[in-house]
Amino acid sequence: MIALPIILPFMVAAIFLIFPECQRLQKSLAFITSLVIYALGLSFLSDSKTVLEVGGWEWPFGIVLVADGFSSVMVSLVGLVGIVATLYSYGEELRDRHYPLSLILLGSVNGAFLTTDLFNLYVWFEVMLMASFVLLSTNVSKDGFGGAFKYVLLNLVSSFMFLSGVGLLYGSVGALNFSHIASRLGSEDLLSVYLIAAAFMIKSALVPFYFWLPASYHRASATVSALFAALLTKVGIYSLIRVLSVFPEIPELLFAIGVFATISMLVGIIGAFGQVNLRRLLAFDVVSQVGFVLLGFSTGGLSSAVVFYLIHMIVVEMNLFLIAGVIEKRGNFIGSGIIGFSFIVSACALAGVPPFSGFFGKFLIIAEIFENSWVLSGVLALIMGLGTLVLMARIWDIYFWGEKKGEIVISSWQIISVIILTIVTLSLSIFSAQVLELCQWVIDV
Amino acid sequence: MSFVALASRVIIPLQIFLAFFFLFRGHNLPGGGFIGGLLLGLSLVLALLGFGFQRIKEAIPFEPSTVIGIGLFTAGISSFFGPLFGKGIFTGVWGSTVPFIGKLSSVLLFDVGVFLLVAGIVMKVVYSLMEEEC
Amino acid sequence: MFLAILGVLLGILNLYLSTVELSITIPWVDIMGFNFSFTIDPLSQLFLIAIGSVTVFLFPYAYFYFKERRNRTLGILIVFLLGMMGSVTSSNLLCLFLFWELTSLTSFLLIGTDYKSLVARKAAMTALIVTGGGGVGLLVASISSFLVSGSLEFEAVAYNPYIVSGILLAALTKSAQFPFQFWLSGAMAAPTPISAYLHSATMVKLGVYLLWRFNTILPSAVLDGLVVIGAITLIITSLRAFFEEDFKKLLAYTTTAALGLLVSLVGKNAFDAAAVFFTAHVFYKGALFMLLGCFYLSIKSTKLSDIGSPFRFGFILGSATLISLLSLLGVPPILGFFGKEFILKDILKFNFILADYLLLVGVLLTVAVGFRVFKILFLSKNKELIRAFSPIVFTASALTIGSVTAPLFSKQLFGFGLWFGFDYVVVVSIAILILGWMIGFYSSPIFKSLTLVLSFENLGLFEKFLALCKKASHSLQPERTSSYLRATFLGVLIILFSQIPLPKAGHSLELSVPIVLASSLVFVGAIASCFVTSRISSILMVSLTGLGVTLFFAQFGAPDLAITQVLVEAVTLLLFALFISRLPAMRPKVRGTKQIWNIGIALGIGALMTIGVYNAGNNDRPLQNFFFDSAYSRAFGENVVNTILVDFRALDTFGEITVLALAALGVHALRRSL
Repeated sequence: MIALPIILPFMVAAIFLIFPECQRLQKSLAFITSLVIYALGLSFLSDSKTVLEVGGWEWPFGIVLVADGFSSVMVSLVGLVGIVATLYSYGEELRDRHYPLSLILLGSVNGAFLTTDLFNLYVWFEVMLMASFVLLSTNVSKDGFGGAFKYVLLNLVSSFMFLSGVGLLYGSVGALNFSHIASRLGSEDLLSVYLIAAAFMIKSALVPFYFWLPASYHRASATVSALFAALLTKVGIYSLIRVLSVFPEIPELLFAIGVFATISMLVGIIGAFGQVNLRRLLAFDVVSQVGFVLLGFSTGGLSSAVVFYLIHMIVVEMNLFLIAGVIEKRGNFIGSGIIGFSFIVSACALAGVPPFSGFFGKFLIIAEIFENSWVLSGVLALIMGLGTLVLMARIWDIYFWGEKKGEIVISSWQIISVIILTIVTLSLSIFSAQVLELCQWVIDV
Repeated sequence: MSFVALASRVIIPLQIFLAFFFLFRGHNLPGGGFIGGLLLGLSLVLALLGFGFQRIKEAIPFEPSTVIGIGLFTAGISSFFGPLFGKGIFTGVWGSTVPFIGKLSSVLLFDVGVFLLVAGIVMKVVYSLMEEEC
Repeated sequence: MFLAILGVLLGILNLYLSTVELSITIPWVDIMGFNFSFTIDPLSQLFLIAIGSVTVFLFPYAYFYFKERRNRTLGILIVFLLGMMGSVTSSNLLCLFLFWELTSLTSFLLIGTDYKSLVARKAAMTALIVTGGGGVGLLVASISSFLVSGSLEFEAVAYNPYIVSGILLAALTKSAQFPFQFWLSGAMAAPTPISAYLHSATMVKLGVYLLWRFNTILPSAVLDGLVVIGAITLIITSLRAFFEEDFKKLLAYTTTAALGLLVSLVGKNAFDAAAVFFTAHVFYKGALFMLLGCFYLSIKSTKLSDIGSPFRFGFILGSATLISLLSLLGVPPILGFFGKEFILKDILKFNFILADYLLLVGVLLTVAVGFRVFKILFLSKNKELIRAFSPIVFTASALTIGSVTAPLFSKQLFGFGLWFGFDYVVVVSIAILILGWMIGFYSSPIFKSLTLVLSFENLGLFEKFLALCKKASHSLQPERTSSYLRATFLGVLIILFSQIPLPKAGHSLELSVPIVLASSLVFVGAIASCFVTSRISSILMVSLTGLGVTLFFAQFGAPDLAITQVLVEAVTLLLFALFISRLPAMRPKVRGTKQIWNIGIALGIGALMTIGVYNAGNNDRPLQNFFFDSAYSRAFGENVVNTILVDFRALDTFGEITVLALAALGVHALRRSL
């Protein structure tokens, strides 16, 4: 049953491919599928972790899927993302085959979260890459295609790195399962590990591999960019964290990640300030957030704060992109209370203003950074926090206080989806103590 | 043009036969779903070259996406045989031997799915490339 | 309407709370020591009185003042009020930080109330940046305390350079002290009720509160520094006020000056003086702002010359203005006089010579400013009568009552009496009044330009920052894809640099004819495809590499892969051949330094890969053995490759065929769009 979050979306997508006409049916089926994924994810959050040996082939020879605390939380988040994205899409003019493609995307992300096999992980990365590329290229303009092309090119480099690393590793240790590899790693295998880590870094949009992110996110439709923002980089971060936590610790690699992460924070903020296009601005901000969370990981390891911040990132970044999809037509939104309120909540959460969700993660991570004597990075993290706050104020300034540029129609579906995420953000904030405890438990499991 | 058409009439049935042949023998000898699917796809390309896009399009009642979808669905369905018998997904469930095809199993079903899908994608690519011409 | 009443009720609550002493703690996030802890002690009580009194009158005032979007503004004001209340009663660093940031954020929204005004929006941004930056200081202090002692409660906070710096940063930015004083005058772009509330009576006093609260952990050097900073701020802004034509801005400058004075007093540990002066200031400044708002509503201008004599707006407004002004000047028996008394008493002790002289000069300047205002307003020729709006008149003037009556209730308010007899201090204050009058009435514009420079406003720092970022953004997101690739591969190389492996000894290279043939095919194909000039040739070269790979597969015992590869090459070539006419011409190659970089990086990666592959030795391969062993026995297939594909690793294949399907869909989609 663990595999259901993976197989089910694929099957439903296949059905959509066979019968491409009935849009309404697709919309409701997509929604139900996301709901099922969400429910499944939550159900996996039981005390013991659930393990599935695919095909009946025992560990370590077969592909093993594991639903432990961390992956279950991630899967349920994917479900939540799916639910919200589907609702939001009801209010949008969508491109062809949006639903089968996004369902495949969801399924592959689940695959990446649940697998403990390195090659299987590679496969899911490939599926994600293709699905997102096609999502970017349908109904695209000539300029838009440039962005999609850059996206796919850079991610293909990531695939190249990944595959080379896996190949070399397989040749050297003869294993593909995470823990199996970990037990057989030798010092001569560091090259392969670094290659794989580099691939993950590209996927996470860590500097200097981040170029694909600001090139592509704003080219897609609003729903799709929200999906991307919520999931793509997070899979990279998750994989990096997961794999490096299972493998024996490599201090130099962690150091390199820390340095890159620090630079990411700065690059993201500076890049964001230089943008006027709202979604591109947010895309740069995502880069800085990725830097922050990976900085936290590289200094403090897999802590409850890191998991918490990851959850918070998914929810809040998605919400911001959804809101951006609504307001970017440059209306004067000061009149729309709900959107304004949701924006304020999400913006404060992102900037790390108490009492919102981002604050707790920020505080704990920065405390860890300083505790591990990465003083300069810590200072830069603080500056990044301030920068994000000012960035959000700037968005408010331009889009909520700015001039009206034409009539805007906001579909109520879009508002509903934004509200859902806002509520989740608020819950994360109010119940932060409990969520942090949950994250702590998640890591221990 | 006519030579190609003539040659096609001979070669295409051969190709189709070979496609299925390779599909079913894949489990014990070189072959399998991918190779079979590619062969089937090649036969389609030949047909298109020989008889022209319009005729072929009318002759085959399926949309390429449908074929792809069916292929994917079949492959996916084959994974559920395992859970039916209480085991994990994609666990092979084996049945009796049938002449020419070999041992019936969920694994074979999976390969059939792959076969259909690969043929379908060749179909799709060729269709979309040729669509402009008309 | 409801909101206004709510505001008034909350104000009364404040006043009530100022009479109690309590302490509550609501635990929240234990891991961080973040609890909602509130303590009301005499310091909090003082501030609560101030907040409460202003609030009670301000909400009705705002209610009558605002015409459009009233509810929204009042709502934000209430949230702000909660922020203030929380800030002065918190006894947990993070709790304080929460409310502190709350006031900064609501202040941002409130300054921009008139969002159609570009000036207001810019001012709001500036204010946010400065006070937000200060907030970071508090965050640093919290983190330091957390790391050092694990607790964030005030009692546990001990001296620590980071904590002290953090507190200093937060306090000085919030109270617009030198060198952060520039944001306050800009904030005057807000409507008058906002300015009256935030930027004179409550929010900006928070910095002073912070310094006062943590006075015990500040080392004496810092305290002395505070006195100097306060004095400098006092003098700069008083001078600036002296030459200001706009009443609102003038009030802003004098507020900043007053804050400087308060900061100095706290630095000198002169808490009695600070308390009295603080209260006096709240009453007269708040009143003056609100009265100014009344004038503005009538004549739509805030210039001193336009206002003319306050009495022309009615007797109530006129007298209220007069009394408040007298309080500013320090004329007995109004509260302001007692404030000055206490201050002078402390200054004249001359503990700290330089600063005390500066303070004396500063006090003199404030009095001078007051007299100048008096002269321009009350002695103006403009006596034309104007009707002012009624209800608002009362609320505006009400605060003045405090100025008058507070001295009578001094024992209850402060715990000490205000009049300590007729001694030399009184003489000095009278002297200052006379001197101030002379300066105020008969001033000269010599110092005008000097002071304009000193206040460094309108440097447009934020705009410059934005322009810089725009430029940076362009280089951070170059258009050419090749730049991305270069950067990416370079990054990879950097990472891998530390792990340059050395070719291991003991690995042999099996060379045989087929392998050499295959390798050369791949090699030639790859290199050639970089140099050929036509599309067809480059496609053929790539196919050549495919052919080489096929040979590899065949040689190493994977016929399935070889066949598949050949078939794929065939299909691809056919498709390309069919549509070759449609493809565009080739793009010119890159030349020059870029090409050298590209070649270098390519060689680097290639070398690394080669070494890597070479090192991947012939260790024992558990997975491989498993596949070989189980292929027939458990998967019923003799073709190992096929069993791996469709049985052992079926999930992988499932994913991969999806990739194929997506690729086909992608081709179709691209064909349609382009």
